[in-house]
Amino acid sequence: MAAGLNDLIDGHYQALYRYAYRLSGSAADAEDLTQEAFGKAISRLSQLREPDKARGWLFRILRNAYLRRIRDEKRHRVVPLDAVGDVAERPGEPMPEIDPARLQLALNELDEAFRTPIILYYFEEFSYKDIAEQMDLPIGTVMSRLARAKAHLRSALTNGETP
Amino acid sequence: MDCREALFFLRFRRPGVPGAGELAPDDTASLERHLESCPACAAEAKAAAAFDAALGSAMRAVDVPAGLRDRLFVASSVERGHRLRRRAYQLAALAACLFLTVGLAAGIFTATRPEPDTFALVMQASRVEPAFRFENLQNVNFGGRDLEAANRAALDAWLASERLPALPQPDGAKFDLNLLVSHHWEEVQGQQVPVVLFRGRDGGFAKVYAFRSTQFRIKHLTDAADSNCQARVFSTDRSGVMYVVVFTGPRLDPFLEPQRNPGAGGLALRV
Repeated sequence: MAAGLNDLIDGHYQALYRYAYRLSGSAADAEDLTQEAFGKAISRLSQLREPDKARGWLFRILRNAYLRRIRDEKRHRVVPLDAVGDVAERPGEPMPEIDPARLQLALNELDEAFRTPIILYYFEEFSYKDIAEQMDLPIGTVMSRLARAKAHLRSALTNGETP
Repeated sequence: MDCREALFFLRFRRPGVPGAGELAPDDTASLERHLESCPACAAEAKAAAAFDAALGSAMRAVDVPAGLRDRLFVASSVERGHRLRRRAYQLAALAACLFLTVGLAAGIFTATRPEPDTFALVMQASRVEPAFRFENLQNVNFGGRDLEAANRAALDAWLASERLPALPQPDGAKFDLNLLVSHHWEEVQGQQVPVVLFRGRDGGFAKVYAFRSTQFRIKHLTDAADSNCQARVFSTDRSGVMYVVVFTGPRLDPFLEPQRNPGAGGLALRV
């Protein structure tokens, strides 16, 4: 078991930390979440029947830990993308480099329901199907949320606005 | 495919990610054909691809703190230790529960077993004694060696099948197997008890009850008597079984093998 867990840590801790950071927007929270995810993984290691799916499994554990944290905090002031249709994409110039800090600010403004799929999509290059499994959502919902979140980020980051 | 459809499909285009499966091959081919013929959509596709690349790059640009790996290893080691201790505590608690449960059950079992009432056995024998007498047996030929041997074989087999030790030998004398009437079961205080019945040369009877500790509390059995009958308690060489002989008359001699009297050279009844 110890060897299995050590392999898990070695193989996934960086990706897990980055995911946690993009979800929470805080280095301290990201480290806590990463540690919590591995702590929970220890107790559930027997549930991991297919090692190939370890990354998705760990991401799911981490996201659940994150959701529990924010459930009562309601600290995010979010852009209510659900209430509006797709944000129009604008043809524009080739994209200059995006400042990661600005990206994080834009992500922080998104509701978790939109933030998680876009992180998974760009960060880990998860497929729609993978994201749908992570979030227990229909693929159509994932596609819709991704399109809105992506359009929103593009709008926010290409206009030079700080969201 | 027109421009509106092309812009819609562009959202799901994911160049450079084979197998991501966001667009069907037919739609991909149709989109590519449209982009070749439409400069506006091609420009949008180029911008979208650049945005995707820039966003992906920025998304991954998160510095992992130095020492995080070591801290995670330490934390996981501590967590494993906690888990092992919790498991040990759980097992210890489970063992304690089992121990208490078994002990409690054994205590309840012990406390609820009845103690044989030897005086009640005597009273019962006295009640049936007048109707149960084997009258005029004093002069009966009891069958000799053949009957004794047959009775012994039958009794030994029955005792073995009941996992009972040999019958007691009061004052060193064996029960006379010529006098064996039966072996059977009787209900005593709600429990079925093995019983060996002998008739006596004086017309009386003796019953040898085998009380097991699995059914009764047998540690403190006592002898009992009334004017007609007596009960005598005999321990055995096997723990967990006590014999109680309930018999008519003042003595057990009429049920035991006659003792040889060396001086007289013949058989003589014990006195």
